[in-house]
Amino acid sequence: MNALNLSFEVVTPIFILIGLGFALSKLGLLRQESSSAMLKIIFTVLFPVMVFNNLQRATVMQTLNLPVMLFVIGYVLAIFAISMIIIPRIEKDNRKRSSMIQGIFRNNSLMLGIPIITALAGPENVGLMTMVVAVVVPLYNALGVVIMEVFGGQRIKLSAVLLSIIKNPLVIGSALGIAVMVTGFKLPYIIEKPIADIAKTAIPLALIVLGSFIKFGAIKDSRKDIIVVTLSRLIIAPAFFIGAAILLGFRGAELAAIMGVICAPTAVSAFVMAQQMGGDADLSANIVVFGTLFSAATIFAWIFVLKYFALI
Amino acid sequence: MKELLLSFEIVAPIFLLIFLGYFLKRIKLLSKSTIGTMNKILFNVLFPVLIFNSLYSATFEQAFNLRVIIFTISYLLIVFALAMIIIPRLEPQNAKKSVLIQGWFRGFTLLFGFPIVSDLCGPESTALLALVVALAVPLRNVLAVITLELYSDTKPSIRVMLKNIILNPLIIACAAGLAAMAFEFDMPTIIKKPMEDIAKVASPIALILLGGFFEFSKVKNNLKQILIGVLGRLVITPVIFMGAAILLGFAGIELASLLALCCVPIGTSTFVMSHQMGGDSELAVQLIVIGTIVSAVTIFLWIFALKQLALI
Repeated sequence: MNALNLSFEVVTPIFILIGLGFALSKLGLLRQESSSAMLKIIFTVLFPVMVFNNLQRATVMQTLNLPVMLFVIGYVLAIFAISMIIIPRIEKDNRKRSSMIQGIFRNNSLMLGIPIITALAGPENVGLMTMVVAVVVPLYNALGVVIMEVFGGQRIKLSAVLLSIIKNPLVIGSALGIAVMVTGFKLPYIIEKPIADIAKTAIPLALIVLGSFIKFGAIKDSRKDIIVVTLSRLIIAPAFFIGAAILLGFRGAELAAIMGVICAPTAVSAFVMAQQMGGDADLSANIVVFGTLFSAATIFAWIFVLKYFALI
Repeated sequence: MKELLLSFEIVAPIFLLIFLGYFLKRIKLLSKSTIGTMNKILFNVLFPVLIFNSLYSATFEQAFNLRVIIFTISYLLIVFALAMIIIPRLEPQNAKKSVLIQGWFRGFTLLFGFPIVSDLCGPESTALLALVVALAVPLRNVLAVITLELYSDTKPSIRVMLKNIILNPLIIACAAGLAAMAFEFDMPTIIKKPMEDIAKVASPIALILLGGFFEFSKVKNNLKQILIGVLGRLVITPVIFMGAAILLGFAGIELASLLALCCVPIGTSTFVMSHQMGGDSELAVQLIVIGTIVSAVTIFLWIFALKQLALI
């Protein structure tokens, strides 16, 4: 299949689901409170079950890819450090700073990365992508807390940080999934079946709910900030780090997994965090919305380029 | 022994998901208003897409089975007539009469049918079931309106009710699915893919929502009514009509679809309608909850019996 067609077929179904969510919210079928409640169920139940399911089905051989893990960890730390240096020079307001930095380093690899890699590299590589997600999620948690310390003026105990990571349902889901995978334990069918059923609901529902958050509100006073974040998140950082990944020799499913992290737009959790932890929630919401919409074009372009040069 | 295990493996996952819903409600992750919203999305989007998908991907011969159509309609009309004759002799109160009569002829085929039939006969075999659902849903609604109308003082607008029945998204989806099937319309992948994703979401989410609906109230006062309702729905009418279906020579996918018609507990829409139209909604809830729990055993026994007789 030619690269153009493929990129289109990978990206469109994802954005049709997001569009459906947007339509439902416009029709008044899916209101803000319900979306938030559903988001909570998605993140505390559906995604953890999905992560568990993806990992327990995979083998150690498929998922334990040290170079990919190291690259992704390096990427997250590097982009975090870079934005910590640059953003404070662009924006003066501490609340906005924290929203912007979160917007740059927190990506939506769960909702977008996993369907992309499934379509690109086949379901047998979902384990690898899930493992990458399992590595970056606690890292985001920890870095999110650092941001709170720096820009929120809050003092946070290390033990509290660790506790919040351990209690994160996604972390629990992946830990259990890895345990089952490593021990080779076979779940009984009557447990495996409902788990697989729930796992299938996570991404479609999450994309619908994500779409229901799309709202075109006041962007005037933060237009510059939104542009800065969206460009760095979706064009500058990917150009640099995908380039680096190619130079380092990552190809095929590995490169697709790396792309699933690097090219995804800002995660909805950036908005949730900003709400809970004194960031600028409106700015975060706008970053998520514009990033998500714009990523339809950029993800398409990235897949096309990488496919065209036969790198994935 | 093999059949015993197989029947268990079909029934247990269904009820685990229902239990998960109840659990999520108990830990307050699933609130009444969230359930309300998700139910709306379920009946307006997810189920219609599931119905459309089941029909669209089938051939005309698979879906259009005149014998099954005639059986479905006669079953509903006969059970309705029986209930109209018998129930008023057993129960003096009008508000309870109307709920009990509905309890006999209204099964939640839409919810239980798809997981049962696709597990019994394979996921490709739900087209006939979709047709049964498309017949049963409007007919059951019309009969329910007649019942409630007869036994309540509130006079609902029949025209509005009928309009709602005809404009039901499920009916529209069924018509569209049959049309797409008849004209062998081939949808592009970018539409097919998100529709398949949504179709996979419907049943697990519906089961979780049913569990979230569970409420345990004092059953002492309604003990007799519950017995009449549950026995009529899950034991007496199934024995008569599954017996008839077997004698008439139905087997395989046909019989599995009829099992989903005759042997499933009553659905949540009975509660909604009774609540709106002066039926005893407390009794409706009890029939739904207790019926669902009892059906874990009766559905299991039906599947086991039919398997043992090598009919499915």
